[in-house]
Amino acid sequence: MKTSLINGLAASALVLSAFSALADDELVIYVYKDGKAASDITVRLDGETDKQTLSGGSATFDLEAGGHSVQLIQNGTTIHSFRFDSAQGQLTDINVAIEEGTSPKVAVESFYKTETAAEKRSAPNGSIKGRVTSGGVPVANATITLTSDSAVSTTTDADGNYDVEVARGVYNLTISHPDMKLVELDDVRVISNVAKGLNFTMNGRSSTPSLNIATPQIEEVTVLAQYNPNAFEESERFSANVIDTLGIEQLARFGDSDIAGSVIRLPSVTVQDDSFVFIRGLGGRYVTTTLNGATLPSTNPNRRSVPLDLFPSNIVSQLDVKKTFLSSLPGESTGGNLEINTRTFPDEGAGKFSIKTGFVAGLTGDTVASDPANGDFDFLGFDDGSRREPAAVEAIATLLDPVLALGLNPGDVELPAQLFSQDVDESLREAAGFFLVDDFDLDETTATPNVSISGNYGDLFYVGDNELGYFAALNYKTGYEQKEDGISRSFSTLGGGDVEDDFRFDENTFSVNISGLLSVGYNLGSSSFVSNTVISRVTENQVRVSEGVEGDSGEESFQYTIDYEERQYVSQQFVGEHFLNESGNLSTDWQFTVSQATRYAPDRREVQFNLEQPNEPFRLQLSETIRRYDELEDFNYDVSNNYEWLISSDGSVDQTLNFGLQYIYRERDSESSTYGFRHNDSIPDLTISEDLLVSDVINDANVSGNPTDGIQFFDRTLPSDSYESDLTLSTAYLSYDLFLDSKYQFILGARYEDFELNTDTFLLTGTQELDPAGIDEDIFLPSLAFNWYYSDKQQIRFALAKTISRPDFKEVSNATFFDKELNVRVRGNPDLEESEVLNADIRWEYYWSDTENISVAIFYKDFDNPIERVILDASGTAGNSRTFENGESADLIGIEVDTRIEFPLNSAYTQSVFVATNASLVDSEIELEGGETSDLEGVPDYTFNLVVGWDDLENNQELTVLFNQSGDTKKDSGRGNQGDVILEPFSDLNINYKKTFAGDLTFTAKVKNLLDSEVEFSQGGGTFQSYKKGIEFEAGIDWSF
Amino acid sequence: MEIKKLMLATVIFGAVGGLYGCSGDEDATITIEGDTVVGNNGGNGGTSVDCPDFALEVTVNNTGMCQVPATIMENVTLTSDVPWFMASRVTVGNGNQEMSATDGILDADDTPVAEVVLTIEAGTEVFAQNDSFANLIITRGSQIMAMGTAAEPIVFSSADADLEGSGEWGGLILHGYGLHNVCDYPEDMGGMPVDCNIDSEGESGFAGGHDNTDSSGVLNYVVVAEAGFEFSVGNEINGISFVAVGSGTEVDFIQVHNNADDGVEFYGGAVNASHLVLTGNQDESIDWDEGYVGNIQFALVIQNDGSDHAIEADTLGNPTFLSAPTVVNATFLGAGDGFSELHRLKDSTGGFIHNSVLTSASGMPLDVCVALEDADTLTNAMNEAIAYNNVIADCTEFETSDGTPSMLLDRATVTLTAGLVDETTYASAAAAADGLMPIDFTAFDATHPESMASQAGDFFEDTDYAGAVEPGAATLWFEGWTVEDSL
Repeated sequence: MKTSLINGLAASALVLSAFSALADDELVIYVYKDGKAASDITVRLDGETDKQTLSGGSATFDLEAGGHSVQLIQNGTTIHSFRFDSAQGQLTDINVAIEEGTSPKVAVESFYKTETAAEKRSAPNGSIKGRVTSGGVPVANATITLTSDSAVSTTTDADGNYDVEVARGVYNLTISHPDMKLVELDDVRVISNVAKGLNFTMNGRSSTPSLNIATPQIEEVTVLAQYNPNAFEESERFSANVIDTLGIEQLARFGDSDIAGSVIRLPSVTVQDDSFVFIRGLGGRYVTTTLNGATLPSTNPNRRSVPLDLFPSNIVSQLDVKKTFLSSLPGESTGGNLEINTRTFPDEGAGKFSIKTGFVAGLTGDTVASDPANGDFDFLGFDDGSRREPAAVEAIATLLDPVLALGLNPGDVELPAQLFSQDVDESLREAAGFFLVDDFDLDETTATPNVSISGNYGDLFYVGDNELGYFAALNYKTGYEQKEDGISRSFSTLGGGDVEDDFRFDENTFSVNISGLLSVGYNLGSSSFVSNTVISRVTENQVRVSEGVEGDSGEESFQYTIDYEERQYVSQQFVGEHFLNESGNLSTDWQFTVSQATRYAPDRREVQFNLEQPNEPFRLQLSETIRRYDELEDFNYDVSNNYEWLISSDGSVDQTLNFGLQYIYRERDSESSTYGFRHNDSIPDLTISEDLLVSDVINDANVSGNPTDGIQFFDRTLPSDSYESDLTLSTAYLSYDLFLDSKYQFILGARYEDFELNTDTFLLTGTQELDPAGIDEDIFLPSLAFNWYYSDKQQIRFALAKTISRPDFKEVSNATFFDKELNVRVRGNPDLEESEVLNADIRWEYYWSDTENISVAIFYKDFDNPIERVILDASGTAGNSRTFENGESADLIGIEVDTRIEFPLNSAYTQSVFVATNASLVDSEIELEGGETSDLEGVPDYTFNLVVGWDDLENNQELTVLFNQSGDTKKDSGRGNQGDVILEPFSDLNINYKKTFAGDLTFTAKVKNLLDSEVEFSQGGGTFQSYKKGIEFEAGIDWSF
Repeated sequence: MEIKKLMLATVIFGAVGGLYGCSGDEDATITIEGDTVVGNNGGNGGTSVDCPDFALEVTVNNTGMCQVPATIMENVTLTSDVPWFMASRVTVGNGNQEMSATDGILDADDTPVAEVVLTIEAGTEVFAQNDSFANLIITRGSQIMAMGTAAEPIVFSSADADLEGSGEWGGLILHGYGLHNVCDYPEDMGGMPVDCNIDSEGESGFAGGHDNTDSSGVLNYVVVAEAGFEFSVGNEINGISFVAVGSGTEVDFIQVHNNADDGVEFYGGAVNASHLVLTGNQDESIDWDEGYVGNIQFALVIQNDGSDHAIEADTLGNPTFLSAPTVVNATFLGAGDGFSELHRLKDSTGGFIHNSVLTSASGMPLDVCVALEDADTLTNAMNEAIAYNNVIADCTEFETSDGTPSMLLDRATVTLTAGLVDETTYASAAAAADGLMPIDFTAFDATHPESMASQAGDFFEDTDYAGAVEPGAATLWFEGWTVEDSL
């Protein structure tokens, strides 16, 4: 902050003000007119509370969480109005500059009283200046200390004057002098970009102590010419790379229940299947997700990316999406990086309790097919053992084929041809059969309304001068969703052609989500420590019923699957931040995270009945009727340490050096077994069921150890169903940031990554032996960014970086697995290589007001050996398969426009409308092995997001309309005469409404998926799969306390 | 019932406690010496055999056998003096890895493929592990020389005593460098050759190539019985799968008996097969797809109640590269009694059936002899890419299209008559079945552009009768080497 003149202590405009305790959620507004404090302005908050600015130009208000308007009135005329958002427990500093001939400028800074050292470091500064006297005599060499997490001190000069600059926030102030009685003052608020004048009177040691408390010893003085133009530059403007941030204020506004819903509010971000984030059209392998700096493993074995539905919004303090690579980001952040920051320090004891309920049109209240197995704790998302793999069956399967069941390498084991005599073998199989006959027939239930309950509470304590804070959140959500009017087909020829399989399906999923966060933080001096414990569970019980014609046999078929899946993520993280020296220009942070991600999917049941002969009832297809038990566990250890050195920051040459190390070790154990039945057709009508009931066929009477006598238990597990793998990633990075004249910023970075991946799977071809596959590579990733802040409203950014894309565990294995989404077999490719990507990015940004801006970006990416999922050349039963291959090359060029404009509907700005839109057009092309070209997998041709919001602060209500559409997206590449599988454009329209009563009670209402448009996958122009989800209505109450 | 289960569980855990207790130790190596194997009766026993160096001696069902190694990378001969045992999958050569654009050169490291010959002497018996996926794969570049004779056929079966089960073991899978219509052949249009790697039936690896005259060896007098193990859900394998097998391969006198899946299935390629006996197979007896253009003569197909269609024909893959084989002198005996469609032609297939008999074993006429399905198949029927020539059929409806009676096929030489097939000789007694003129394939091909029968060289024998067996023949070609009582 530039030094300003202080009005002389003897000046007439001396205002004495007793210090009162800090009000809750205090708002401080400073108004400047033509560079000088404006003292004759009426500030009207939310159209109802008026206050005059004092001589320093300031006005203070109590503030509640939510949207606010500010109207500035001078002589009965509105000179400016604007609005801002604040979250519960936040303090807000606002600077307004009004100048003749230009539009007014507003800078809003919202923050929590308690912050980590790093948060404070990046915050704007304010200062306190004034004079210390004793009995009218200046006190020289008095030490003035401001303490929050760390202490900043200065001493008075010969005239008793002092000037101390610190990050805005709330401090404890002390003034000490050997001859004087100590002055102590709590809760001194330093306002961003404001120099506050405070004069102090000290008393001699001989004075009576009571005076110190009773009499005001502080004068608040006006400080002139403190207008600072830098105050009005958006912090986003200065972020080093293209970053989009959703803070807690916006998260509160959008009211999404989980992060997946929130991130689509950011430019060029889309979400697939309500869970998986895509940045500028790139997802999966091209996007990384981090939780407070630690990597997150995916809990979905078929997907690369982290399912975001695991994380509710109320545990989040901020979401950052970074669209260009910097050396401090994971090397795989080609499309970008999503950083989830959880909450730790509240300002005071405060909490929130929410309850919501909703229904889906055409589902809630209707009768739906349901899982016949249900446990006492299903409502909590925990199976009580009803679906657990019967231990006896597991034991029998082990006895019958120990090599398979124990995951041994057949090459290491020689077993006799027959382990058991025929009699023993039959008894074992009969016994196993008995344990598997139950819970095959579909049940029915009424789809209950959706309910979600969430609560959070946080508090802050002082331990001496140090802060101890905690934040705890617990969420419970349950309900049904559906895919109705579903169509699932296959085609006779690979490019399309006649319809082969032709099914209609209906699917419903009952889900229970439970999540919790406990964050405990401790701030002391120059260090802060945080412990984050996160648990998140999603349990889904899904029933899909299909009817149609099976293409190969031409038979009418009735099929259903019952799925039960518990996905859980548990992590314990410790984070620390430290200033390493007195001046605070050398700092470090570290984190250590242990996490476990599991997927427990017991008892997937698949049932198929076919009308084999037109003149008889349906027959159970024993070969297609199975029970499957899956268990996957990922253990993840992640430790990182970063250093920052602010080499110089004198305003003309700012230099920063960053250095960091990270080590990640992850291991996965995936086990699966599949059990089925068989019968050798010796009893002709055994498989017939008039009523399509499995229990007519597979029952205690029919189960036998011998397939000639009845239904025989049969282990259908394949060696490749289970696998183990691990990966190690060691990285180091260095980044140098040079900022010249606050105008030219250069960031040079380099990152080194050493990667090793091993997957142990079993070959299905050949000898079915153990077949380890893996990658062991290291790479150097340079990056360069240049930002040119050529005017105070406009800037241009250039970035050039190299990133990497790596295959994951299963993709490099020789095993085959099953993609549930598209119903296809997927085969890994052990020859898969890493893919290197060159990224170039230009972005122009123009901010014409605090809340209005436009940016245009052009981005280009060049891929060497891009990894692509392709339709496999396959024959017979291997048909309809996918595999992965390295294409020759790929490139992608896109343009992205993002803008936000705001219209006040009245002069008080209590009613306003904003329109935020972002759109991108992307042209991508991949050259596959052999030279064919097509679009790059997973990249939509275009994305379009539109958010229109209406804020009515007078009546405390707001309405938000959100629209999202993406263009054609290729899911799988067809080669030769095969057609690509395309996800057709899908339109999504949501409406949110919120009204607050009595300050702490809020009513919310939502309509989701109002257009109910069809989700359609096509191949060769024909519908491959399609369904609708139905419109969902939701209403709820939030209570803040 | 719960009590019964509980008791069972107790019994099982009691019985298996020892083994189950150490199941967590996955590094354990369980080695039980091959020649001290525990047999059926729980003791050492069985006859001793003298096995060649490459084979382990094992005892199965108290009988000493020589175990065929899982991977065969050098020429070996299975001799008829000992019984042979396949414990699991046996892969001959390494041509089921990915191949480069040049047939014979593997994609990995550009190394030449192993060219291995597996010779099997006449009279050899090969037993596969019961209830297992055990199967024999001949990969690209390698060959099987199964040199059986009528007196001494080669028999593949499961290790149990009889030949009457089904789905008890895998089957035979032959790969070749033949053309497969899923592959791209840009050289047809003057482009550079590209690799052709078709992920094949039964997780058998990659097959296909650029040469429809390739040879995968010889199958002479070979019986494959009670195979078709379902190795993964809904995934059985055929008795003999021919994946892109070329016409250089000799297939003469083979029987597939009681297979749980199809009897023989041809995926692309151009292999010719004669003297086929397909009995009691539970899915289709003959299945072709993906651009198969070979020839078949003398096929005796006998279905039972569990069987599906006698022929299921598809093109699939590339609709401009049709499956269009020629079948001459076949007798198809459906199970009758409501079995609806003997031949099911679909998914854009072509195909030509000459001098054949379509009837049922029950004496009742078939509902439908030929079912044409899907628009592309109907187009092929109208464009002479499908033909029935000199055919005797006993069916209520000769032809349907997508379920309704139709008249798309030329029936000039189709005779609808009651099924007159002799129950022992399987020759047709119908007047129309005898005294035919030998087929002039050149003239036929001229009017049927998709037919390639005239290019079959001397594969086809001229016959003057319809059906697999000559009426009044002195000797029956299927006698003496096929499974007893299977006919």
